[in-house]
Amino acid sequence: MKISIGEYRQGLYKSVGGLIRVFLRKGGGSIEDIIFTGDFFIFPEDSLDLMAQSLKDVALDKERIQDIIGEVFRREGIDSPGTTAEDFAEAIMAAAR
Amino acid sequence: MMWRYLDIGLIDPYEAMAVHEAMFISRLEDESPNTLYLEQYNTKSVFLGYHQCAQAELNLDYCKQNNIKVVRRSTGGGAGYMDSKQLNYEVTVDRKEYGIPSDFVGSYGRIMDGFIEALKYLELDAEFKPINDLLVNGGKISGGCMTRKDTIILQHGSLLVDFDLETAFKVLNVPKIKYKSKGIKSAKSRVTCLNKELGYAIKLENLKTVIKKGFMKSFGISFNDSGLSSYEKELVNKLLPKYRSEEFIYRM
Repeated sequence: MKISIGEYRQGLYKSVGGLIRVFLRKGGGSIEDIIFTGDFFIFPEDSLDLMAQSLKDVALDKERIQDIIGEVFRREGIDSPGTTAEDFAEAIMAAAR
Repeated sequence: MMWRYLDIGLIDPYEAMAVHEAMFISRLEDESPNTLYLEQYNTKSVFLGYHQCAQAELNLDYCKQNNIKVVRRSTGGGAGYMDSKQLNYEVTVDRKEYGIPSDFVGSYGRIMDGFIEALKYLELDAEFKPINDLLVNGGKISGGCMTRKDTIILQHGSLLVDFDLETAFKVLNVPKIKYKSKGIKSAKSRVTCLNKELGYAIKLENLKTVIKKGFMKSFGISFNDSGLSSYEKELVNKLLPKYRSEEFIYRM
């Protein structure tokens, strides 16, 4: 997908496994749209879309976001060396601030 | 145990990405042997990781003005600027045949051992720094990335023989946050190259010879020199349009 950066708020967070750069469109206090980018590794490689889908309309609450991403990690058997569900949640909260 | 040694020489960067994926697919289908592959790029180019946003990570105007090709890998990791002065590699291997660990860092480090052994022949002490760096005297001399499926690993990366640091940092937007946590004053100070560490310009042929020797020692193997199979060439032709397409390069 092409990102028109102007429409999104950007959040950066450096995890052990790499830089997470999140593009966030807020709707009130919730996530309207989110795109995960960065130089981390994640297997399977298409896991980021599943994570983004699971966060649609979720309130911008770090613990809630972390739980949802953690659940996607478990369900899909995601392996992301040095990058945790909490790191992704941190990047989202950095974009929300 | 015999591996294929494939030195393709100078190659177009888009074609190179198609070759990398073709060898991986063919290895997965058990149509190709374990392989150590070497290449150099025939043009200035910058390689984006699969998950990176082109417009955020790169100075695209500078790339356009300076004829620097923008390429996207199918593997994760970060962007790297390349010209013909680096030696790039790919290893495709069945990890089960060599007791290579299944986890990312363990398997990456195991393959890096081939390069660590190689650099010993040049009297350089290299160390693997997780998750994907090879350091000499504290400076990064090689970066790379990996994908895997079933028990097959594709690991590819570069060995910085010489490096145009100035151009690299004009091409890449390196956010300060990336280096702040490591306590390093600037991103530039993290990078080194072989010629700098050796104090002379190594001949590529000599470097290739020690890399082969390093892998032979590390994995207890011999090499059979050969090119791409006709099946791999077929796959390259099928994959090349993807790597050349704007849709893929600027997918995000």
